[in-house]
Amino acid sequence: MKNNIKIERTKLGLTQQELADLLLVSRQTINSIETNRYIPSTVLALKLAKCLNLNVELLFFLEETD
Amino acid sequence: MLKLKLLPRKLRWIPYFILVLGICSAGLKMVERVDSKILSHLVFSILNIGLLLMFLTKRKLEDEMFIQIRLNNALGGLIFGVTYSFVNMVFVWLDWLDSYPTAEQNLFVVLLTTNLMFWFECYVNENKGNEE
Repeated sequence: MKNNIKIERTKLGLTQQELADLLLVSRQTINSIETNRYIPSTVLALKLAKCLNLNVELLFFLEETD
Repeated sequence: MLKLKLLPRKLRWIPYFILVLGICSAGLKMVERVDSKILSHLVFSILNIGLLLMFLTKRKLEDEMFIQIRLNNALGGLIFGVTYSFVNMVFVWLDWLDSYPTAEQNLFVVLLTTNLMFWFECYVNENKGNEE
């Protein structure tokens, strides 16, 4: 699964730490999600989408191999 | 969201205290050269409680990813422990070892591996998290 979090976060001018603070998670978690090392739970994915003012389908998408 | 009941961070002195107690008992046993099986069981049991509580104590940074890391490493530790136990059995069978490790010793290996893997993964994550 891939995601557009880094692009959308940069568009809003947020740092990883600022986004992490908004979501009450660690900066490491945001970094791991952006680099596809960790797939967030549905709740966190929905919170991320809400914070970035996007639908979750536009933020996360499946790859050919999924 | 993934949740797990963990020991509050303000109580993190408890596992450290138990571990120090276990290490002191082990040291005392070695210095005094006490050859008591029950004492050996007791030392490993104390160390196991300390390691388990340490694994289940909240870290400074705690969220669903760290809970996932905890669960993955608990499974990793269990797989390592089962393999260790099997290898020990083979070694005893081949007469390369005198006796089987006790249940407490096997559990100690599982808990120690689990803790070490968790600390290592947290350390790696903290360093990788510096990329912006």
